[in-house]
Amino acid sequence: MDHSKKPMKENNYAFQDLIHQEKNKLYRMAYLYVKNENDALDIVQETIYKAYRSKDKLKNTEYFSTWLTRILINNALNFIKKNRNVVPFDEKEMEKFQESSEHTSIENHIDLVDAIDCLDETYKTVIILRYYKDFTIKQIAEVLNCPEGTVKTNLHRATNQLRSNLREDCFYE
Amino acid sequence: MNNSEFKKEVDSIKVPEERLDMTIKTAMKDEKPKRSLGKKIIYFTSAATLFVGLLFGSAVASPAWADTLSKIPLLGSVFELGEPGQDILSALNEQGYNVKDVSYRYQPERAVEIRVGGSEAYIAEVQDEVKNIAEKVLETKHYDTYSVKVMETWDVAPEEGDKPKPVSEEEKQEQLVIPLKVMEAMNKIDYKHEFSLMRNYSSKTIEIPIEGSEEYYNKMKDIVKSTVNDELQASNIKGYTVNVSHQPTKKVIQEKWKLDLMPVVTQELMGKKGYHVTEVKSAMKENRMLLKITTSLKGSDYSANELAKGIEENVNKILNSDSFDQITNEFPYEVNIYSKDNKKIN
Repeated sequence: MDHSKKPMKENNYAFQDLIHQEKNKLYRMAYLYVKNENDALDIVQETIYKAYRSKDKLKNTEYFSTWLTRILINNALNFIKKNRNVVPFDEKEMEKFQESSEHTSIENHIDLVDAIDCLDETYKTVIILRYYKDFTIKQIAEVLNCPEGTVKTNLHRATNQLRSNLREDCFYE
Repeated sequence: MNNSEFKKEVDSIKVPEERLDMTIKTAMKDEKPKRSLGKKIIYFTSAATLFVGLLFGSAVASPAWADTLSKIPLLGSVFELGEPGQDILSALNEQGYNVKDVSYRYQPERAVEIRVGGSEAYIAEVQDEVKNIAEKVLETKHYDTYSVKVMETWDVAPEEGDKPKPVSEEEKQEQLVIPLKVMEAMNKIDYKHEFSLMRNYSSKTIEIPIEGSEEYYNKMKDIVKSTVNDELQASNIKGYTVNVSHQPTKKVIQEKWKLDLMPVVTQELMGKKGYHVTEVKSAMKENRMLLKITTSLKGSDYSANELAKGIEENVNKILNSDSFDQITNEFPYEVNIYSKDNKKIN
């Protein structure tokens, strides 16, 4: 079903369809920020809720994916900011609990996900937007609300950091 | 590292599909999303698990524990084969409720989902009654872990291209007759296997699966085709193409295992607290079905072996019952029961 030419207002089904097309990517991006299922789902829920409330503002559904991604990134970054001060009761215990409830198929690919996880938030964002969602520098600048030059520099540094994280274990703070 | 590799790695993150769909549904209900309790619960359970572990560790023959054991359903007693989903469906349909589907879910919690057709108003009106009836059925069958959820059916708006082409009265009549004719033809050849004849013939093709070995298929395909064609011609039904395809018996049996047998076993084991089962998995091997059942008991628990015996006994009763023994005789199975800490206990 090609909804790209219809304005958002017309069609509730269209919104649902588009969400379902994006849902897996949304989840995975959120996951890269928080690395656990529950929080990732929280972020996705917040994102869809916000998107649904403001869907009429989107004039052209061609940009749905980009628009939705922006909302997600903002929510993810907010989430992290809000939860930064939460000190878990027992960090080790919590990690073990989370790991044991993940599916084993993740274990094989933990390298890249781990490596991304070690990155500072801004670097994480530019990497995800550039390599996973193919955003242009301009689009990334819009999401992060900073000049394109900064994005280029950050991207350059982020990529280097990521490469080194992949080569050797990265250190958590 | 290049772009497509990157995407592949990120795309390999497993998505919890059911929970995600649920999340989407909730988000669109226009309620402010509640912060999940997930993280907070972790803090409590890690302490709680420790405490509970100590409690059981010290009490070797604690009465509380023995009590739970005695509740293992039907250990050594008469076992009633049940299919709670079917029973619920029948009970509700008998009373006139428009129930479309009864299905089970085991994550994040064990529940029976009843999908009702009709308007939102209708569903709101009947949902309590439906829930009560379902709960009663579960109770009489001793299923004590499932919560009942009544929900609307997923209504799929037909896509533009999907709308069935308008069919003339004549054609409709014809299509009602086709299954009968095909059956007559198959009887003539003495082909005994069942297959579904209920389908939409608007595409003017009739699909006939031949179940059996490759040789059998080769032997039969021409004669099936010609007999069916003759039958159709004799009834003046024209313009249909008959397609005869091969369905290896093994495949049919494997399908039945997955679709008919495993759900019954899973519904039973996950449905009664006395089994202490946390997970039922199955794996199809070359010529047998492996069942992996995980319980919440520790391997060191003195009652673990007893429990495993009981579970295996009932699983065997299900799989060797009249409804299923034809399948299990042809394609045997192996039951492996594990403790919480991954020790085999049967």
